[in-house]
Amino acid sequence: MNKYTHNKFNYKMLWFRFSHSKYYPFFQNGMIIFSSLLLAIFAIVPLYLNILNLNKNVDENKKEVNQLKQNLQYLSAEPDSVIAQYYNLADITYLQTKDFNSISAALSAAAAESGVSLNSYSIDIGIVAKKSQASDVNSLVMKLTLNGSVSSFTNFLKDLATKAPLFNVQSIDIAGNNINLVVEVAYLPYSESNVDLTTSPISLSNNTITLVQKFSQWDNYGNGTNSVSTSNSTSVAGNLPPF
Amino acid sequence: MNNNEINLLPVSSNNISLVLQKRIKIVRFVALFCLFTIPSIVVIMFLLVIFSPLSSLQQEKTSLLASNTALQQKAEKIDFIENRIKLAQDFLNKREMYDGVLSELTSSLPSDLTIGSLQFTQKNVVLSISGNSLLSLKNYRESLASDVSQSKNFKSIVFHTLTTQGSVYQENLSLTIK
Repeated sequence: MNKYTHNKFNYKMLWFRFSHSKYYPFFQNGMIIFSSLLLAIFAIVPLYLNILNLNKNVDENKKEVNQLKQNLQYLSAEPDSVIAQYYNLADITYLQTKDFNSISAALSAAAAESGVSLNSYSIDIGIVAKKSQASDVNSLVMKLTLNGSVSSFTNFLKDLATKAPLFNVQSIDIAGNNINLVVEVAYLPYSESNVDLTTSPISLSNNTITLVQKFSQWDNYGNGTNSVSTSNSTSVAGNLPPF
Repeated sequence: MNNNEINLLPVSSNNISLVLQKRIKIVRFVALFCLFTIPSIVVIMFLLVIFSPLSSLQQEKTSLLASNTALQQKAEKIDFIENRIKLAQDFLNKREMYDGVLSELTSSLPSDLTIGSLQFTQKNVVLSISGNSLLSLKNYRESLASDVSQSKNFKSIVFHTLTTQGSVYQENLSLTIK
């Protein structure tokens, strides 16, 4: 025989009463609104953020593809021979190591041409990669003892500017015909370049072309124009002026 | 006693007040609006994500890069040229050579005067001039002073001493280079 359970909660009965009460339509529709709000919070907000991010990515990718196309167009148009020629000239602009032989040869040649005598020179080897006072490149400090007039010494500096062009005078001490000169000669080790064609525009600026042409006129440790081939293929259309 | 009073079931909707019915209508309208609008938005957004051009753009980028590997080397060469030349230009713009200053000092030097000593350090020049003629010394001094006033090579000039030893005059001065 079943026990009488009047005092116990009868959930079925409660639900039955509630589902037939006047508040049930509020509950029913409220649940729909609540579910929709949950959907909005957990689906629409992340999707919206995702779309924002996606749009940003699409814009970035569009820019990258356009940049890439521009770069490829430029690179295809430029003749390999001209680029190789500029590359060689840019390569010899700097010494790549502490090349004592080249530096002393350039000093001797400049001294001989200007009429000063190079009595002695010493090289500060101390710091392995000392940065130049003038720029962010490595430099080698040299102390020179010269003999000559002030005007000859002026010519020596001018000659040196073509034979060992990247030098910076730190101090000059002239007493009569005795000249003590401290210079630093720049050198720059070869560095691999890692270019991203999609992000940065690749092109040789007019300024660079002008400077390369100017540098090519220098003797540059005996590596100047004479030793670099000046032939140029003009059959391929390109923007770079030939030498 | 009427039937409603002995009915154990809840009151039917017919007896709900008009205000309550109006409220129910509003809530139902809001619920229906949410029921159709929010899922529609979700579906539209999902389709937007699915059909975004991102993947096609990435594919295009990859294929362009893959088909032009030879041009990558060319680009690296150009980058190398640009970097080196930029550094060289920077170096040349900042370096001190003093040849112009030396030319300036010697070109205006009268023939009867000689430079006894000359020291360049940083932006300063300490100069010692000697000769037999006070007039030449005066002219040279004035020429340097006019150079300073015209702001050519020098920023300032300081005359330190004028000494004499027999018939030889010696003047010490210092200049600040621009």
